[in-house]
Amino acid sequence: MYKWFMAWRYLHTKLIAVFAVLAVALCVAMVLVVMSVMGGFLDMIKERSRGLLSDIVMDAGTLQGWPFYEEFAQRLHENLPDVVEASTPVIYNYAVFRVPEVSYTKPAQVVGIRLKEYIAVNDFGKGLYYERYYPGTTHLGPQKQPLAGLPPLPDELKGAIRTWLQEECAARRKTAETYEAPRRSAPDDLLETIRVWLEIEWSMLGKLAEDDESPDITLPVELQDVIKQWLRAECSAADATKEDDQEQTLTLPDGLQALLRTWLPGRRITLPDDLRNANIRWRNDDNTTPEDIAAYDRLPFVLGWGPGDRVFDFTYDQPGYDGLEFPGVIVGCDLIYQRGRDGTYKRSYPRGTMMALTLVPLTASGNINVEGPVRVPVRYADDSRTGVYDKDSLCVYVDFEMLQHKLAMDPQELVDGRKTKPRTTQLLVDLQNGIDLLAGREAIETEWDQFLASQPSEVTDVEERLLSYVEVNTWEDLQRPFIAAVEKEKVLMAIILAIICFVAVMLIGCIFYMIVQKKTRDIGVLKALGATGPGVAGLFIIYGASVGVVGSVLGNSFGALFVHYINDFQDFLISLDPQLQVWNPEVYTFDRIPSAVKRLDVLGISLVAVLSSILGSLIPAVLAGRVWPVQALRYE
Amino acid sequence: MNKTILRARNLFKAYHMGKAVVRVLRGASLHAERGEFLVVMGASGSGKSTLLHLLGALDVPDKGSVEFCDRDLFLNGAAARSRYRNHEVGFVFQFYHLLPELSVLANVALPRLVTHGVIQWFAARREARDQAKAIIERVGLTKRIRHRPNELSGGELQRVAIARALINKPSLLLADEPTGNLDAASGKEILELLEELNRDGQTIIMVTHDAQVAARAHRRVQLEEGRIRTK
Repeated sequence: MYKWFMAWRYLHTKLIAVFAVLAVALCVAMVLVVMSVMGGFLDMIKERSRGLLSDIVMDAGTLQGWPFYEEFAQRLHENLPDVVEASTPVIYNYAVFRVPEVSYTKPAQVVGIRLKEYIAVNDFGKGLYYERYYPGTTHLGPQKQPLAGLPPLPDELKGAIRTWLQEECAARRKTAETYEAPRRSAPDDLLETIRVWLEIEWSMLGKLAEDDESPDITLPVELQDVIKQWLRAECSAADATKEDDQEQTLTLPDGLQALLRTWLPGRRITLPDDLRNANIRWRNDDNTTPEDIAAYDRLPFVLGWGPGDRVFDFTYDQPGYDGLEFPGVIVGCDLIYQRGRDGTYKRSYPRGTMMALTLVPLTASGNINVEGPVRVPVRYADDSRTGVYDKDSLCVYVDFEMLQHKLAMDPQELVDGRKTKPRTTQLLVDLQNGIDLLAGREAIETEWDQFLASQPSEVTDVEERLLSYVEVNTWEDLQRPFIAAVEKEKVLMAIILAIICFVAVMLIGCIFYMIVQKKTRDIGVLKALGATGPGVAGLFIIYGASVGVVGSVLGNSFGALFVHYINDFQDFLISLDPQLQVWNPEVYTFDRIPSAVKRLDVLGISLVAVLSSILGSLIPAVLAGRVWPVQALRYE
Repeated sequence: MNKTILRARNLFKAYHMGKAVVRVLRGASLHAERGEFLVVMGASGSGKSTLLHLLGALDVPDKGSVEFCDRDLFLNGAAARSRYRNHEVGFVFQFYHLLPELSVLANVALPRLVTHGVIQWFAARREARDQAKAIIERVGLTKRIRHRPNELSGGELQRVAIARALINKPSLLLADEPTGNLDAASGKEILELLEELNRDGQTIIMVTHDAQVAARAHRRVQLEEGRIRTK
C-alpha cells in the first residue's frame, strides 16, 4: 500500500516527475498526431477513391475508348442481377477549358457522365455546391442563364395605379362637364417605369412602409415629371384644357399608399419558379439541419452582392432565364476558384456563366479526327468539390451523350456504309450490398470473357483491339500502388515509433536513475521501517507506470486536440506567412490535412507509453531495491 | 516469558574503505531485558551505530548472531528481517530521517502502511491515521500534524521520529544518539519522553557518547575496541 501512497506523493510533489510526465506526453502526442494524419490520409485515400470511382471499374486505358459497352452493361444486368446494382459509362478526355468573359484558360480533364447514373454509383453528388442548396436543379442538359429578380407587380396593385392615374387625369380636366374617362388606360411603359422605381427603392420603401410613423410614400421628382408628361399628353388627347401643374407635387392617394404599405414589406428578390420550388422542397427535407436552414435563409438576401455567395445574376428584371441554351458543365472548384484561408471558396461566377471547352476528337484508331478541334460552348451549372485536389483542379463534367458526340465516339458512318459502335472509356459498376469486391470482380471478369468470346462478327479489327485492352479492376486495384506506398510509410512510422519508444525508455531511465540517486536516503528509511527490496523496487515501477499513465492521458488529450484543429493551425500559420504552409494540396492530393484519431491508436499508444515508462524505470527500480539500508541511511 | 528480549553474541563487523579494512566490532556481545532502558556508550567511531544497526537487522554481521526472543535474525531471509524491522523494532535516528514529501501525520503513519496491501487500502489508511493521530497527541505535536518536516524544529522532528518508531507498537526501541543533534532543552525533553515510554514498559536500547544522557538508563555498557564492557 505504501508503494502506491509514496508513488502518488512523488508524482505530484517532485518537479523532476513533471519533466518525466512531459517527456512521455510529448512522445505520445507526437506519435498520435503522426499516426492520426497518416491513418487519416490512408482512410481518405480509400474513401475518396471509392467515392470517386465505383466498386468495379472497366477501363481500356486509351483515349479513344472501347465499343459494345452498352451491350455488355445490359448483359451484366441480365446475367448478374444479384451481383450488379447499377452501371454507367464514363468518358475521360482532355480539353482546353475557357471562360470567355474573362479570357481565362486552363487545361482540363473532361469527364462525360450521365449525372443521375453517376451519382448513383459513387459519391460525386455529395460534392456539388448548388445541388446542395437547390436540389434537383443541377443538370447537364441544355440550359439558360438563371436570373433572380423581383416578382411582377400584382394585378391588384397594377389596377390601383391605373385607377389613380385615371383619377389624376380626370382631375386635370378643366370642367366636370367635359369629364369623361380616358380613352385608354395608363400605358404599360408607364407602369413599367413605376415598377422599376418600386423595385429600385423596394428595400427603402419596404422599411418605410413597415414604420407606422413614417411619412407618406412620395414619388421622386423625375418619376413625377414622367407621369405629369403623360398626364399632359393624355389630357390634350381628351381635348381638355390643361392646367399648369409644373409646381404642383404629385402625391400617391391614401388607398394606393395603404396597398403599398401592405405589399412592399413582403417583397423579396426571388428565383425563377422552378429553382424556388426546388429550394422549398429542400427546406422541407427531413435531413435539413439548423445550419442548412440558416444558409437557406441567408441565400435570398445575398444574391448578387457578396462575391462568395453570388449564386445567380441579380437584375431589376423579373426572375427568369436569359440567353441561349447551352449544355451544362460541372466544374472542379479548384479549377476556377481559389480556396480562401478560411477554407471557403469565393464563387465569383454566377450560375449559368458561359464557358467553353475545346476538344480534340479521335478516331477509333487514335488519329485526330479530320474536322480537327471542336469548340463546345457550355453553361456553368454547378461546381464539384471532391476534396481530391487533382480532381478538383483538373476535371470538368459534361453530359455523356453530348461529349460522346463531340468527340466522335458516337456511331460514325464508314465509307462502306456501315456504322461504328459508340465508345466509352470506362464502365463503372456498382455491386449489390454485401457482395465482396473480389468476388464481384471475378464474376464480371468471367462475364466479360464470355462476352468477348461471343462477340458478333461485325466487329472490326480496330474495335477488337480496343476490346482487348479492357481490364476489370476494383477501385482498390486502381489505387493499390498509392495505398501500398502509404502503407509502407506506416511501417516506416512503426520503426520511428519504436525509436521514439526507445528514446522515451532511455529518458525515463535517466530521470528515474536521478530520482533513485536523490532518494537513496528515503529508500534507506523505508527499508528501516520494514519495506522489502522488491517492495521498494515495486514503488519505483508504480511511479514509472504512473508517469506513463499521466503522460499518456496528457499526451493523448493534447494530440487529439491538435489533430482536431490541425487545419485551423495550418491556416493560422499561413496567415502569418504563406511560406509556413505545411500541407501543400498539390503535393498531397487532398486540399485539407486529413486526420482521424482512432480509439485503437490511442489505446495502443497509451499501452506502449506505459510499458515504456515501466521499462525505463525498471533498472533504477531494481537498483533501488538493492540499496542496503545502512548505506542508504549514511548517504548524504 | 523469557526476560531477555534481545541477545547479541560475538558480533564481528569490518568495513572496507578502499584497500584498508576497518574492523569495527570484534566479538561484541550484549543482551537486553524486556522493559529495560539500556545505554551503549562509547567514543565517536567506536562502532556504537554499527552495533545498533546489527541489532536492528539493518546490517548483517560478518560473524556472530543476534537473537530476538531466541530467534536468530540472520538465519532467516531478507523478508523476515524486513518484517522484524517493521513489527518488532522502532528506530530513532540522530538525524531524524523523516521523509520530506510527507506531512507529520503521513510520516508517522507510514510504517503502518508498509505491511498492508492495496486491497485493504481505505480501512488500513483510516486505521493508520487514527493510530498516528493518537501517538502524535502523545508526543505533543497535534498542532503540527499537517506540517512538513522542513517546518519543524529539531526537537519536534525527533518527537515525530519517536512517534513513527512507536506506531507499530514495537517490542524494542533502538535510538541512535537521539539527542546528539539537539540543544540541551530539546534533548532533555526527548530523554524525558523516552523515560516515560520506558516507564510504560517500552524496552529501549540507546547509543550515546554523552555520560549525562547515559545516566538516565537502567544499565550502561561501554563499547571499547569493538567489544562490550559492562560498567
